[in-house]
Amino acid sequence: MTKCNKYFNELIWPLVTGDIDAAEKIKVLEHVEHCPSCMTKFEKMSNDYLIWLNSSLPSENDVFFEKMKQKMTKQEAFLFVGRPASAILALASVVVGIAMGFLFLLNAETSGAENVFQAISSDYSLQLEKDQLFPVDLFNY
Amino acid sequence: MQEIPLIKALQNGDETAFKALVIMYRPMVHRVIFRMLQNDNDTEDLVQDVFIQIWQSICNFRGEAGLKTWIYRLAVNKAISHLRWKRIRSFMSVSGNSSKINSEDRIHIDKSSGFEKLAQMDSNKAIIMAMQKLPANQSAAFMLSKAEGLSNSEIAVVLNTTIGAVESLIFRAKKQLKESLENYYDESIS
Repeated sequence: MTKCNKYFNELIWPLVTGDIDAAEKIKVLEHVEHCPSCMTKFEKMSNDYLIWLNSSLPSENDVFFEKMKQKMTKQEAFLFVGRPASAILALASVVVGIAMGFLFLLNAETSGAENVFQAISSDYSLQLEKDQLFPVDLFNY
Repeated sequence: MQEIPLIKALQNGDETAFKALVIMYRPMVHRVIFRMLQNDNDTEDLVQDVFIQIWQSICNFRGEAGLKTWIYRLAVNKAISHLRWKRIRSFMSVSGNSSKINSEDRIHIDKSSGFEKLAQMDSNKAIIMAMQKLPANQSAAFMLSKAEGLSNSEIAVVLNTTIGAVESLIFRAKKQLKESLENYYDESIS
């Protein structure tokens, strides 16, 4: 089948999608009616365009809500576990916090007081003139 | 159910209202996502995600845009991010190990390899392939305009952009579609 002239050929897709002004539409339609090549192209394009437009209907299943509920429950249950990077970071922060606290208290115990609380409080009363160490000497530890 | 009472009921956690909302808007959300993805399983999954997101964030809905427009926005955004993620995954698969690419990914990879692939398709798939070849935002703008019949100002709200940008997106989409489809149909008819 021979290809039609460029002018009409280029207006078939706009004709299918409706992106053509009224005057040109009449002209192209008149041409298409008498041109087998353009008619074939127009029919094919229109048919395929309609398939694309109407090709999407949801399946009529009753399990849609059930599936959605399951998904929602899963999301809630795995809110934390589902994000391993955040979970690892949070866990690492807790471990570091505990370790630092332990270190702090261990040093407080060795500062000569009867108990940890006394050591902390005595140091906070700042008997530093006696040259005692602050429970954790952050600079010289 | 009217829109405002429906929103109020949803914000109060009314499950019956949520079911009504799903029945009302599921076909629309499905249409929008399917036209962009052309894959049944992914579409069903994303439709569920959209409604879960609606249920979880309806309290933040302030009514600046209509409920329908808001749902359009969620659906389009979900589809666009899914497409982007898929393209990145395809790219990684190609650069990683090309032999492990599954058939679904292969379609997306083929999209970047030129319009000559269209010639190997069934004719109705040619439009689908040409649509998928478009950048996600152009495809969304064209689809919302042609298939959903939204005005440019409505599309601008959905895509969170200006009317001028929407006009430009639709213009470029039409141009690219016209070029690729004309080649395909000319070759298939002759």
